[in-house]
Amino acid sequence: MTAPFLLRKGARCLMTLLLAVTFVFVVLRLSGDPVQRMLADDVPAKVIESYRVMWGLDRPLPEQYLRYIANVVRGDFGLSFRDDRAVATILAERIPATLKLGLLALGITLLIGIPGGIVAALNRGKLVDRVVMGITILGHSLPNFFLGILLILYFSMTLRLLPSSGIGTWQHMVMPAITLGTSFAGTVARFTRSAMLEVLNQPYMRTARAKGVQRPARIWHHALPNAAIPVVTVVGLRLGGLVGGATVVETVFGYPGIGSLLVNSVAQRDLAVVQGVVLLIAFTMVVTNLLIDLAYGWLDPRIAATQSGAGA
Amino acid sequence: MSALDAGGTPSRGRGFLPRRRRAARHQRPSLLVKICLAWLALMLFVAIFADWLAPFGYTEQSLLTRLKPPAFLGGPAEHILGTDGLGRDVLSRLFFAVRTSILIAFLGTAIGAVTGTVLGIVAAHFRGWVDDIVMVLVDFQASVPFLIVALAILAFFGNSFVLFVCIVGLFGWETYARLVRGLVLSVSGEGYAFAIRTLGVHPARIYLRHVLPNIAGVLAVQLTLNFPEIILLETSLSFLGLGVQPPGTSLGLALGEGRNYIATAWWIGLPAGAVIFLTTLSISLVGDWVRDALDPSLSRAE
Repeated sequence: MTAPFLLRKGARCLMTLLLAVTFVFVVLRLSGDPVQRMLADDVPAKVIESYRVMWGLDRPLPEQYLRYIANVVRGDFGLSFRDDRAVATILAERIPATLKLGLLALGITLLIGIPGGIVAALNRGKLVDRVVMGITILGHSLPNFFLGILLILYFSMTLRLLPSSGIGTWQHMVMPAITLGTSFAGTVARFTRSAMLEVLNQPYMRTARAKGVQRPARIWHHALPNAAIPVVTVVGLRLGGLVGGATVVETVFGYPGIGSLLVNSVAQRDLAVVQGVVLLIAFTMVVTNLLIDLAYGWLDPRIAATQSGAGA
Repeated sequence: MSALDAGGTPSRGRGFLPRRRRAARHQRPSLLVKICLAWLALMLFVAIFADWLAPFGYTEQSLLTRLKPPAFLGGPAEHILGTDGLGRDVLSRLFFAVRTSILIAFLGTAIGAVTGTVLGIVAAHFRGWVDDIVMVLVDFQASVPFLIVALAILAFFGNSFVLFVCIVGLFGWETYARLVRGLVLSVSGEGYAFAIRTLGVHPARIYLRHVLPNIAGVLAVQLTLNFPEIILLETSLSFLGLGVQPPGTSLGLALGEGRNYIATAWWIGLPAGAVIFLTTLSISLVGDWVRDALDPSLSRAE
């Protein structure tokens, strides 16, 4: 983990973020004049002009672009088109709920996916393996909104056990977290299984066995740490899917998080909020990916060694 | 079924599991894969002949027969799956929903595959800064969840059918691009590509006539992985009310509309959900089988 490696990683992250900001800026400008969209048709030209000056829309495009970047860096995403509140404030209100849901769902994903994959790999070709893999295919094909509705139908409507929407008690978290969590558990299980199978065939596993290491110790000390890398990679790659899934799941369960905020804002075409959410998610994704890259070095000393070497 | 039983029947009903040992010999489809193929054929049939199959027009309203349960639950006999809140026949709407969803999925898959393949070839052919730009775009697309990008585009540009199809088509291009770029780079080093190049054949012809057929198998596998995800993307967006717009219908929209009646009239939404589930499941299982049949080493892809 050397300075040049960190610098290169950091530069790449900044590139991606800049690309995201540019993308949002270009799309914002391409999609028409925000002033005309906000104000009615019969508003006098003078008023329109004053709005344009107020929002800096009278400046040349490059200046607008730089200003936009400067504002974003300061955490200023502008004002909501609907109620004139600062987008940053609206986002801040919603973040804790989504974070809670996301972490809970991630926990469920890992708790189901990783043991499931390990058990399947250790019993390769046996009934357990086939059952686990069968379930992952079923889970992969079941859209999360459909699963959500089925859960509501059964647990809220039929059994009247859990609230179908809203937030507040732990009961409100159960169905959203399960819906979101199980949607990726299958993928994680599949990758854990194939990573484990790969590792189990390695010569060092045979060596460990030849040395007389007991099976549990072989799996725990030799197989699992080596299988962790690809699994971490996949979990990192799929986090984006978790964020995307959150928009749907939050909407199904009327859960007031970032995801349902985005969907509502898109429906109402509140572009200020939309760009704020998009940038927030892009930022989160980039930082997460960076953290995962850094975690590799910690998980596998060999990677840290190649990173400090000349190339990587 | 006992464990002994499961071990005793050698080949039936096992194809859907990742059994690499068996993958080496080209296998005939198992019963399960046959059922899936039949289901997919049925969906294709319904999509093509929706006009003839549907007992009612899909926008045909009848306020006198609103929210009638399916015929098998005591509803009127002519509405096999009941009616929705506007008295429209659920079965007829389901047929047209299948048509829209499958049409969008096909168009989207085609757009994504062609764009990705072309960009992958271009990147591999020109190398240098062209390659860099394509790969930065690939990284970008892979780093931001696509559903979010799609929602943003819909917010900024409003919704139209053409735009929606383009958005769905944008999904997954980066996987093709990355895949094709790598394949073209490795294929270019092979003897036959070098031989044709020496003959002075135009690059476009080389890629179309010689390289593409050689990587078609891998692309086909990617297609089977991509197709169900495209269906899920379209149905998710339509479910959120941001995809296909009424009075049109799609499987996602039908389920989304049915959500409001879930407590009283579950039959409006659930059939569409079940169709999405069965269709994506069938494609995944058939895809697994195709993958094993085409090339056992491919099952390790990803």
